[in-house]
Amino acid sequence: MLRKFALALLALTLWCSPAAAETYIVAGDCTWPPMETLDKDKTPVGYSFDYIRAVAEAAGFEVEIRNIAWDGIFAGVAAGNYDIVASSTTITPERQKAFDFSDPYYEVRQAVIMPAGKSIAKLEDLKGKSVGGQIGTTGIFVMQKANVGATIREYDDVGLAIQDMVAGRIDAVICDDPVAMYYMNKKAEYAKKLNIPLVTDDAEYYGFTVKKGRKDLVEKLNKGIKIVRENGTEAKLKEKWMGAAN
Amino acid sequence: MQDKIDGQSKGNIVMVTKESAMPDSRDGQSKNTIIMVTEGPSIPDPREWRIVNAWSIALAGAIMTLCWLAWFRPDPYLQILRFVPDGLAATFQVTVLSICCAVPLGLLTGLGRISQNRIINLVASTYVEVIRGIPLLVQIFYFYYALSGMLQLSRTAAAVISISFCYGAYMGEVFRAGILAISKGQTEAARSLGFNRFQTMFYVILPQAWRTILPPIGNECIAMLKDTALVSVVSLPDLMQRARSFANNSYLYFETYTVIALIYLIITLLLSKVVSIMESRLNYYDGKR
Amino acid sequence: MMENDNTTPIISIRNVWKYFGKNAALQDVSLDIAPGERVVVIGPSGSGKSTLLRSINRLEEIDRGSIVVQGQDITDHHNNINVMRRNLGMVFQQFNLFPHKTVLQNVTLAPIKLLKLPRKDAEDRAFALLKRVGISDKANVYPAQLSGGQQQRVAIARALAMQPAIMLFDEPTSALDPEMVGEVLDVMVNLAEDGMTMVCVTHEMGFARTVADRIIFMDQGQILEMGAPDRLFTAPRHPRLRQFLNQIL
Repeated sequence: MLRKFALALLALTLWCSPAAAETYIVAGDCTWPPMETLDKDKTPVGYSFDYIRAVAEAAGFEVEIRNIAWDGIFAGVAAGNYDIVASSTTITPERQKAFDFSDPYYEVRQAVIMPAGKSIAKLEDLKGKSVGGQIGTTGIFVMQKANVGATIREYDDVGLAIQDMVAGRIDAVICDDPVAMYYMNKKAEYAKKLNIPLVTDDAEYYGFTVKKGRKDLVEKLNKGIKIVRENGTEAKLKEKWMGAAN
Repeated sequence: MQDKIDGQSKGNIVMVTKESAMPDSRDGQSKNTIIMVTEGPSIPDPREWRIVNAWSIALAGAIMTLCWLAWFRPDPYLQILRFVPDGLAATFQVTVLSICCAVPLGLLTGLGRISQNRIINLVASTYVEVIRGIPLLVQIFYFYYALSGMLQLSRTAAAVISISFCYGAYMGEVFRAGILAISKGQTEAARSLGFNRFQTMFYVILPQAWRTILPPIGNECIAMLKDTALVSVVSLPDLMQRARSFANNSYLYFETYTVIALIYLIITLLLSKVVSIMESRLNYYDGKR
Repeated sequence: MMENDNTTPIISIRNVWKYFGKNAALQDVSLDIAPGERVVVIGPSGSGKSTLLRSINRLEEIDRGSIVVQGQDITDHHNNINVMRRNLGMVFQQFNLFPHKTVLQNVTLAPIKLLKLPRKDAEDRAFALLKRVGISDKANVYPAQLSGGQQQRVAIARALAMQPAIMLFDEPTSALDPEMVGEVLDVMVNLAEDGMTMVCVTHEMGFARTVADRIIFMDQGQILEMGAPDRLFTAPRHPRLRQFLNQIL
């Protein structure tokens, strides 16, 4: 009886562990369209995921994508629950202290979204207003560093922040510009309700995040990114997800 | 004579009627109602005066761990402790306001559930059934985001309303059980003197029921404090959200949540002691001088 | 029939039926009680005697018939039963003192809240009553610290504090240890001597014999025999009464 149980346990362990040595598990928070989101069948889709698939193909490994909540996504990669975070993670000096990053795969800026008809000229104009964003994202960090005297509201995902702004309880939302563009242009329920009065000057770069010390994985990712960029796949993906304008 | 204590003095009085069965269906229930203690640390026994017990070990351990960490590893532990106080204030604010709303709501619900008026009874019972079937997190989302089209609630209001509605239903059951645990003879004695239903409830039944009700209500309040951690989803900067912000900035998940867990533990332990002291105060008429 | 205060019944029970489910606890019971009369109801367990007593102050709602107390129909829902009950003191088998109130508070609660008596007056009245039942020295203790006999005497004082015209006793000594029965009966005898109208359900035959003007024997929800104690105890007519007396005497 005990032996059967042990065998079953062993089988389960084998089944749970990656079947092929070259399959890496990729985590993304699917609340950040168009970079990472869910389609109608609840399958993770988006620019980051297409990109990591292309990288994997170019560098000769397999990926399995999982939807993981943003709050705690870094704790999971540190704990080894998955190998790569592909979730629009901006490479910052603070994050580099705790994790290793691939080369940049996308450039963004922070965009301030406001209800249609409301506007600001610079970040300082947000003084005395309440600004929402997703907890632990660079938008929040930018607001904290700018320290313009705004009340910062942190939400579990950026959609909730925008919903709260449309309901009139906060004045603005700050997030990555592709996400801001997506909510303004592609979401039917927000059509003509939003505008983006401000995009910051400082560029940020997305990187794939791995556990500190996984140099092997970083090398593979960088090799793949180089190929994807040079063979024109990157341009195709940008066209697919951001449209011709970008 | 003084030390002669009748058997009646202990616990709830079991009314024995020699005549045939009472017509009231309530009477069929067990009189020695034990109200199940729900979540939360167990309320310390007020008669327990030994220094070393689970409560004192947990409290001393938590406080000492926190102090030790802050003293010997101020980076990051002292930073974390400096970061969270306003979150603690928000947590307390939501908890206290919710208690102020949920306890009266629970009392009304409990009275409604035992009301002989069928409509009131139905309303109270339906409320309890509906609310108990919906997770608190869903209720918070509902009051804040889903209803935002017709009802603009502030963060605190949405949090307090959803928590009060949720816990009011649970407390209603506690009040109901506590009231039913008081022997029918007490009601009859009061009614026979000429008190009406309402006066009987407030002068005779509730003051006695309160003693049975207090420990589980205290536990509900402590559980409530812990459940306020859920309100960070409406971007209310409580203790939990402060912890999440810090962890998401610093990536020090272990350190941050260790501190937060210890803070929650210390608060709930202290609150359980407060409930225990209140409970012992209510035992004044037990026959022990 | 003479229209005279002494013969107009203070309690008039007419053709009363009471069911618990399908079981008829009272079957067509009629009984008149005169002012100042002391009536003792006896009978085996389940005979309906407590139900009859509890119907008089509407702790049990009767299904058919009428009960008129001091000219007012207590079954009529237009009459305020809470006011009528002030005139009907009741003492229970289980005492039912309020455990969270001191002896004094037990006695003063109803006069203060219902009769709106000033606290001082209510306490004076309470002390006089506690003295009468012989426990004025225990005014400030809680019921749990009293013996059963003491508690029952407080319960009597509590009922008397409303200055009722009628006292109802529902087996007042049945829950007491034998050595405490006497002290409670003494109080009741004392009360009877003062001319209080009393209806008492009891198994204490000695008390019934010395105090009662009239004994009512009930069995299976019916009054089978009634009469003066001497006649009833010495020459019972109904076979069931004879059987009952044989069993308990």
